[in-house]
Amino acid sequence: MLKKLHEDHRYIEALLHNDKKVVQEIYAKFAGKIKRYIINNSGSESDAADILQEALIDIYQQARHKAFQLTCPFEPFLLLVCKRKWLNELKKKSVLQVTNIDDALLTIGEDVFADAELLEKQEAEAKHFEQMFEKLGERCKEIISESLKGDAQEMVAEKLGVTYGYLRKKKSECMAALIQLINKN
Amino acid sequence: MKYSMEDIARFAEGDMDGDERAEFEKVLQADIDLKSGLASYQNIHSSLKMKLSNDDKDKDFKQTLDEVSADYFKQKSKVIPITRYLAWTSAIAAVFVLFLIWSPWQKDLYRQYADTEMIAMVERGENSAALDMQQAANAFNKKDFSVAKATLENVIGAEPGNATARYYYAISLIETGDGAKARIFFSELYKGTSVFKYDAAFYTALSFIKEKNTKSAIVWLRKIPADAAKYDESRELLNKLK
Repeated sequence: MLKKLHEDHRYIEALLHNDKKVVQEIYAKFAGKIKRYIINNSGSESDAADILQEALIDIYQQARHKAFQLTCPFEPFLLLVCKRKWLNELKKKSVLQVTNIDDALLTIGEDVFADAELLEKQEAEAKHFEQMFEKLGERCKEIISESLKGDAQEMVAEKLGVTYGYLRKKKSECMAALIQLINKN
Repeated sequence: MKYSMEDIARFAEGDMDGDERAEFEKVLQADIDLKSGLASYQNIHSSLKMKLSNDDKDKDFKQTLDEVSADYFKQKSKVIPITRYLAWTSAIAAVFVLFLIWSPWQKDLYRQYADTEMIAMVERGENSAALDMQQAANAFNKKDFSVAKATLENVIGAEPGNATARYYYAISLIETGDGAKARIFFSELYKGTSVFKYDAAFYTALSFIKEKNTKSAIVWLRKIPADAAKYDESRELLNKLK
């Protein structure tokens, strides 16, 4: 199904192009709200800084590698992503007192939840794939991570000290091994 | 299924040649399992790339976030101080400030409260504005305010939205005797949403104290709310002014 892009997708494009002015605009508009929310919920100012930064990195990375598209307004989307990230942190620390979690969320549309959930799902999935990748043998990890950097395969082969033919063969074997590992888990 | 996972990998990586590739593409048109196998491969591939490849583009983006974040959040761990001895200097400075605040002999309220250390960011691959910030911080902390003022003027020219630069620039203005111009900058910061909002109000008050305008200083000190970092100092100062 073709998704309808929201006009606020411009924020995502700006993150993708490392547009400092728009990053400043985002911080000017939303940093205060996120700070207040996190400080009101057992966090510190530095937790708030980390959560906002992580959220923006997730959005940037998924826009870059997974063609993430925004179909809802940016503000409630970003706030929801940050809130969920903070909730996960609190769960990890087993802090139970979480107040006013649903304030201002009542007016959020389905589209906002859908976009935030997709972002969260893809992030969790990527983390899981990374964990499976870590279980591969050292040589396979090396071959896959070098190949993913996007350099010419000939250069990768030279760097790893193998022939081009060997690299091609080994890379597909390693990727197949990884996919089997993922499918089993 | 005719094709193995390795074949899918070879196809996706562009490692299949001529006829074999054409044949694969033909089968792909009709074979739903092969299609979903390929889609799953591409999904895993792009996810791993996202997690593992931390290239220059990613680093540049993260640096932008660090720089902007430092203007809006105070206790960011990535903002590192100019000297490596910050833990010590700030502890000593804190004791020193407390000493000054407590000291009954100290009559110059401006000097007593205008004791701010400028903290700049030191990052890899700094641009010239970041280097200027560091230079400005060195001058500022040595109380060489005319050098700090000139250097920060350059930074503001290059980065008009840099709230940190504007804040320390305005303090340098007070220190070099231009309180009226400083207040224009502070009033902008006060209207904005950066972390310097209430520090700007505090310094506006201090600039009036320096000019013996107690009435205006009181007005500005009262603007500082209870959750601001400068609240305690502002109330203390209010008591002394009354």
